Amino acid sequence: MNKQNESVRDYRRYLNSDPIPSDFKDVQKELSEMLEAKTEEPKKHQSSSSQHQSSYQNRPNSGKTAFDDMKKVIKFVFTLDHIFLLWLYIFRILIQDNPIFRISIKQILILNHQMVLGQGQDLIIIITPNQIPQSSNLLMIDLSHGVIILKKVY
Amino acid sequence: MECVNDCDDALNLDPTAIKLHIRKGKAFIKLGHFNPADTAFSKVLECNVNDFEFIPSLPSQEIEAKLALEQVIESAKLEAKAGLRELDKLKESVKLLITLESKMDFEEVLKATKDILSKSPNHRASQIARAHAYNELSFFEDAKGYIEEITISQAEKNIQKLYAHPSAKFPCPSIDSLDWKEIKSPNGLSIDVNSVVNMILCVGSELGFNYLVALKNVKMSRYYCADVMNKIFQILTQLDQLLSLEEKSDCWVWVSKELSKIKELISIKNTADLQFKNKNFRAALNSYGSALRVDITARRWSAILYSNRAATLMSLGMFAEAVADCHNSVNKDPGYSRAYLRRARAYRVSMMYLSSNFRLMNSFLSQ
Repeated sequence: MNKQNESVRDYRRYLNSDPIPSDFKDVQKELSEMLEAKTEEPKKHQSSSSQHQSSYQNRPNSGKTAFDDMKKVIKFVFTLDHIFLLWLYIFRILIQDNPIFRISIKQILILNHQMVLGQGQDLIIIITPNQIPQSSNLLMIDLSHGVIILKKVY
Repeated sequence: MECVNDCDDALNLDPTAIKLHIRKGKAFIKLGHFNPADTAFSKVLECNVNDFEFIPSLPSQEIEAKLALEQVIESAKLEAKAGLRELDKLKESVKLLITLESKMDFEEVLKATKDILSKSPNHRASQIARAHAYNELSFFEDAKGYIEEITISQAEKNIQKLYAHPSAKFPCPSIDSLDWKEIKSPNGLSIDVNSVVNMILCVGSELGFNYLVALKNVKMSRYYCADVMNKIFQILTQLDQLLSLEEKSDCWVWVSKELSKIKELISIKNTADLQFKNKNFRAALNSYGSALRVDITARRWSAILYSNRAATLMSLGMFAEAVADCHNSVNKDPGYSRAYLRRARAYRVSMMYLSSNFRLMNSFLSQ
């Protein structure tokens, strides 16, 4: 929360600087997106738990794959420049849909380091589920220049 | 200077005109030359009526003349004592100034120099200390303006030649020709290199160094850092060439040192920028780190380098480090707005990073 306030304060300092920054409109949009996300988050949070549970429970009968959902999410993530929601969502799908991919919290934290990336960088996520031998089964998601490639490596 | 010379000439003609010693002492105080002032006042105190020869036409006139001279000497001694007291106060103030400088208390240095310069406007050490304090407090525009103002005013009184380099050409360049100017097509920043070089020679060695520091830290370097660096490089190259023609003087050694620094800095910064452009972030990180160690006097450049390193750290996902570098950038130059934007983004991304971790853990724990 504190960081959010600091962030908003710094955005405003930049926007109020003299001379007016050349990217004023873009940054202003960035700030308003952030503020919108801040106000929408609590609303979503209130209603999300029950809906999510039911949708995931019904998933095997819906005919959708995790990959279909992921594509949508990735699109959403890219438009919002919200890269960390992406991996959260991927894990939610993988973990909740597919018990075989359940991994420990410790491994997720390690995974964070693998996922650290900056704007405009390629994103390569390697998931190593603890229940599957590493050499035999790796799931690889490669996002290069906005193209999504989901690979299952055996 | 002219007053001192005239007093000397007059004293040669009439040694009994002892008040001229006081005038001379006061002129030395104004010039900031405390030891000659002390000598001038002390001469008055040593005066005795019997030291002077009287060639009166009548004996009664000799007594009258001696009495009159005695009165003059007494009143001159009183004035000389007052002059010496003022001089002692000034010397104490200078001692205090040296202590304040060693303690790096630059706000107090500004106050102390104001006090000294109100009584001794040409006191060189105080002028240098004042310009240095302005730079240390990041009042770079004030430092530049102050040095230009005193140099031009002292040049008009022929005092500046005491401190200027022998190659300096007087009159000093006009203030207009010493300003950075924005140019269009292509957008950039420029300055009259020849005028600045001559100004540094007119200003003299110690103040010249402070003048260069103020020039480096021009506000517009936030937007045209490369242009400012290149112009400073040109100025130093020209100065170095000029000085190499003259007999080498220790007080101008800083020119060649600054020249090698700026060469190194431009080279490392260009390399770092290229590495960043080519997404070679690890190498760019090291290069920006090296660039930051080259020239600590150029604070506004350091602010830009810290901010660029913050962008590199962001690209490497090291958000906490990026925030720290943005803090450093803002500390170096609170008016550098891009550092605020980078810090805002670093906070935002690190916040998302933490919240996603938190939510992920919650999702596990709830299963």
